[in-house]
Amino acid sequence: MASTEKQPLLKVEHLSKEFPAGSGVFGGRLSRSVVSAVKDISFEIYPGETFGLVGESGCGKSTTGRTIMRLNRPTEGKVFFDGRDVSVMNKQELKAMRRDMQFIFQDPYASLNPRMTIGEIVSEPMTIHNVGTHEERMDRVRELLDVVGLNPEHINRYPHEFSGGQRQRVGIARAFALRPKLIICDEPVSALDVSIQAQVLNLLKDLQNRFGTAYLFIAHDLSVVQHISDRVAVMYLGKMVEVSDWKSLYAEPHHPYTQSLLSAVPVPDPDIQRDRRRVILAGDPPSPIDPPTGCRFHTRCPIAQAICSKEQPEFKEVAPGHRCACHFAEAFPIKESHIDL
Amino acid sequence: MAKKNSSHVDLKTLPVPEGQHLLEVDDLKMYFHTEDGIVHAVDGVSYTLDRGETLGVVGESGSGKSVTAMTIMGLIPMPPGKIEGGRVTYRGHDLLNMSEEEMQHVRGNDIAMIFQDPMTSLNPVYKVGKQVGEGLRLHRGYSKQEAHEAAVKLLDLVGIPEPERRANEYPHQFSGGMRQRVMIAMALACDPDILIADEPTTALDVTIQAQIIELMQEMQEKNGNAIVMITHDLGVVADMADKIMVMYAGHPVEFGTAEEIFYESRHPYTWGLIRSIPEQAIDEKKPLTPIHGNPPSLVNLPKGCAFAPRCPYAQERCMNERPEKHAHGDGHYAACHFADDDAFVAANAPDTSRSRGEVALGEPVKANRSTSEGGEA
Repeated sequence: MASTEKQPLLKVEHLSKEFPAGSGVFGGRLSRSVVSAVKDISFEIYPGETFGLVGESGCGKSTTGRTIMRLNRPTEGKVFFDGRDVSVMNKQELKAMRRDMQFIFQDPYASLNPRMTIGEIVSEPMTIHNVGTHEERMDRVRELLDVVGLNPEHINRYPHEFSGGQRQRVGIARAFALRPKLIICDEPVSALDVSIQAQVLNLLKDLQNRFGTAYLFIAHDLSVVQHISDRVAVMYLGKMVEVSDWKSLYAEPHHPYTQSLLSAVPVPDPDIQRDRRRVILAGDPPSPIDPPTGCRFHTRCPIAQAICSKEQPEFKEVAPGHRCACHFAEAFPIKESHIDL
Repeated sequence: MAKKNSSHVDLKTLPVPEGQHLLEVDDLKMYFHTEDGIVHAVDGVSYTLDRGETLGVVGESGSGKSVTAMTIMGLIPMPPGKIEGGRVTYRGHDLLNMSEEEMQHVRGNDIAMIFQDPMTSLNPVYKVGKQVGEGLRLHRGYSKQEAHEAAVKLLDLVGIPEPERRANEYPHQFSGGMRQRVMIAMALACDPDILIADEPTTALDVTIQAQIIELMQEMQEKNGNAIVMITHDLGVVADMADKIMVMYAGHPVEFGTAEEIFYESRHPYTWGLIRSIPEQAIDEKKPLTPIHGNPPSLVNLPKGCAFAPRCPYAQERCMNERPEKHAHGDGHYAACHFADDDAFVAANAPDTSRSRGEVALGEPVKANRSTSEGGEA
């Protein structure tokens, strides 16, 4: 859990990532327009905690995860993992770093090589990092398969012989093969049915309690993120708009975007759902190619004022451990009458 | 494009026969004959629907919820599909025995469908306005000009800004939410009696999902049509549906009003679904109670209850004997051997906000904001 005495395992400072935009023969490299996928975000993750990153498609949450892993090179900013700067690492250093930082992907169908057996897939990280002999690795794979709830006798089967939920368990076993300190989970349950989703969420929680692994948990589903996370950050159009421990984020959201996101999640309970106030945002998120000036949310914000289109709001502390990037988050508590559209 | 046959009568203008419902599905069975064996995709689905009503069909992938809808619409290729039994009547007319020509008049005109993926269900090489007006040209005999004007009106109705300009654009120029609005405009073009929506919001973000659901409800209020909402998300049907059918492995396992399904459910699979969803708790997080195992193969269904291998309460009887539908009050049924056992249900059904006598989740914004109340407005 987060505590102030502990050193953060991962520290992200003013991270930005831009991609060249536009089309054409050179893939837009000649044009000057860029997609500002992630803009100036900072946060830290402590050992053993789960940090949830939530937002809608295109908000930059996956790009954040990939940039931390250095699957993308950051445009600006620094990423410190275990005290070392990931953004300037060379190939060897990266390889060593990735022993301690692993990734679980969204699509359990596309992220497993169909020509490799389950044993080969799960042992591959150990092979790459030269851990143990072949026999030792296979023993470890059997142990891992057992831990994630798969039959160790299936070690020689191929991915197509497994269901979606089982494949995701294979992906989880692979991520845990090297006992990493941090696992970046990019939408690990969104391709699964609800009953299977619950199995995988419980498994991730069990493994964390057992091995003390920290998670960066990226998802669009707020109820899933709330369930698994200790702290949660909300992103909108490349910016972090609010971060807090899970409890106060859900009980007292400060940012109008967080409020609308929370109110848009359908609650599976008719009594509650019928009486609930909803803040339904108009329109679609703007394009990250030419993001709005000032606060990036002002074009859809129900309480936007003149200042919002001019000045970028500061990411300021509104309560201990609770930060929010809104001009009115503190001075202007958003009462219900103000969010009634 | 065929002109409207003058001898054809719009079924939706005919009265519903006395004692019947707008749509009646009775013991519908659709099997697929494949090389691997017979797939029992839909096995004994029954429900009724009236005007202005919304039916939610809930289930996991492969539970047969989409195939049920496609069978009603006559969209399943036969072979490999084969209707093995059952009846579907719409305003007293048997849909399953209609000729293809008659069905063409029903599809889009009387019963319209919205599909999950708006990108693959729109034709990328035709302008959006043309696609929206196509049904009117086909069913109403509108001229090109009339159809275009009607399409612009429809796009405006579903909340697409600058409809005149947008009608002349292609689907790739629309965002996901806007494309789904186009699909709704298309489905509503001929003012259908029944709108079947197959996971219409699954591909969309939550804030856009909220917009689309609100739009569908508004349209229903205005037109009085019935909606069949197919979804895997119990949350989506919680405030939308009047009735809910829960499906598992091609079987309807429970059917009832939304209240009955959420607060008085009597089938262990419904309980499992409810327990699998993370609760938006404010105080304390409880671990989820997932359903163990995986859904069965539809080729090799268990002999007894299809859910028995995953059911924590299964007895020997469940493995051997297929459960009947046990009725509870008007219309509510559960296909479980023990659904009549009140003590069993009381002991094992999940807690709900009603059974606890509380509402677990408050407003998104809480009234008590003492930390920030001091500031100036």
